Amino acid sequence: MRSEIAFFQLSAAAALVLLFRHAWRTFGRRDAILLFGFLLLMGTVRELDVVAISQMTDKPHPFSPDAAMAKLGPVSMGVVGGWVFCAYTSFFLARLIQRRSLRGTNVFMTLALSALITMGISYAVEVTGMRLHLWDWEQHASYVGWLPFGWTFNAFDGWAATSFNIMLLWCTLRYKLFSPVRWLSALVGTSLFVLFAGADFVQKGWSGTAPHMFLSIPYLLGAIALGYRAPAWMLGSSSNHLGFEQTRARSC
Amino acid sequence: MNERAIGPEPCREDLRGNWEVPGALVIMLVVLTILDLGWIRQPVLLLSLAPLVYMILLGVRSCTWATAVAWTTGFAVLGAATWNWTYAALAWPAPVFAILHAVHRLVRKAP
Repeated sequence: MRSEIAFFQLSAAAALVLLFRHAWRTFGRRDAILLFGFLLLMGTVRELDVVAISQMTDKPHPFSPDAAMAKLGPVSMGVVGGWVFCAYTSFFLARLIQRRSLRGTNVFMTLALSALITMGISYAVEVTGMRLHLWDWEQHASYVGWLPFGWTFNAFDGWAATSFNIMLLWCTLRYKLFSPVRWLSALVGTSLFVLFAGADFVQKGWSGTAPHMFLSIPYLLGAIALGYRAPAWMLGSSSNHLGFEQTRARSC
Repeated sequence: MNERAIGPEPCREDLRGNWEVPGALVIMLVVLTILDLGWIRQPVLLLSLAPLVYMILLGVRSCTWATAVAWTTGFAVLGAATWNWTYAALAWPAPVFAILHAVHRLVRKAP
């Protein structure tokens, strides 16, 4: 295994251990295991989704991880670990920012902020990762022109959307967002997730912008609007579990 | 309370209770720094860490309006000095979060 890949993966594993410790302390053993199990599962589903979309639409796989990255079947566990890191870290750094700068907003704002934070993580990791060939983007990938160092548009768009949608589904299922009725809440959350994750399956023969990109902005703006104006019944138990009530009551 | 702060004063309790999250990000920043300097040998790539560094700062301490302006100005100067205006865009989190906070103030004031 190339030494830089080993170094990168071992450090990422150490960071994941820290994050698991945070989850264990914050939510207790059962919820920490549930959350990390869910994130691992969704990271895997995400990678399989990308493979399936490429096969069904006869388009090349957008990126290929280095063969030295840890793999389980067709799925690169290094990349799946990256999704766990991104989704969890972005969400909880978003909570820290929200507690200081955007008080009185709710879990939907946390989700919107986590998408922005994931963009920052993505940029830092991609710029270095691409040069080390931890993974390679397809030859004809387009780049974000307004930033230096060649950041692929797929990464700009894909990382933020992935952590946003994964955490949206987790929060919906765990805290009953959107409806006090559990099955209805699960149905809305799953539908939003499947709509986004599956949008690109309809693009066979499609030459324009990938369909999911028409959903990214409405999802983000919707989350910001709900972050201010969501009625209490849409928030389920998120306020209690994620400390929104305490934030309002506590004087820092 | 610092009147110039964009948000309330830093809450030490928050950081004590959540140190693992910034800790994991710091591990990531250190690893990327080592890779950029040691393996790739391109110190200029350290600038790619700037957006994330700003967001970590926002998470662990309150940033003032002056911080946001200084951050944006700093990268604008860098862009002008190198004649590479994409460097100026590296400051993007500062104006984005300043706008979000300004919107937040307006919405909170609205009836």
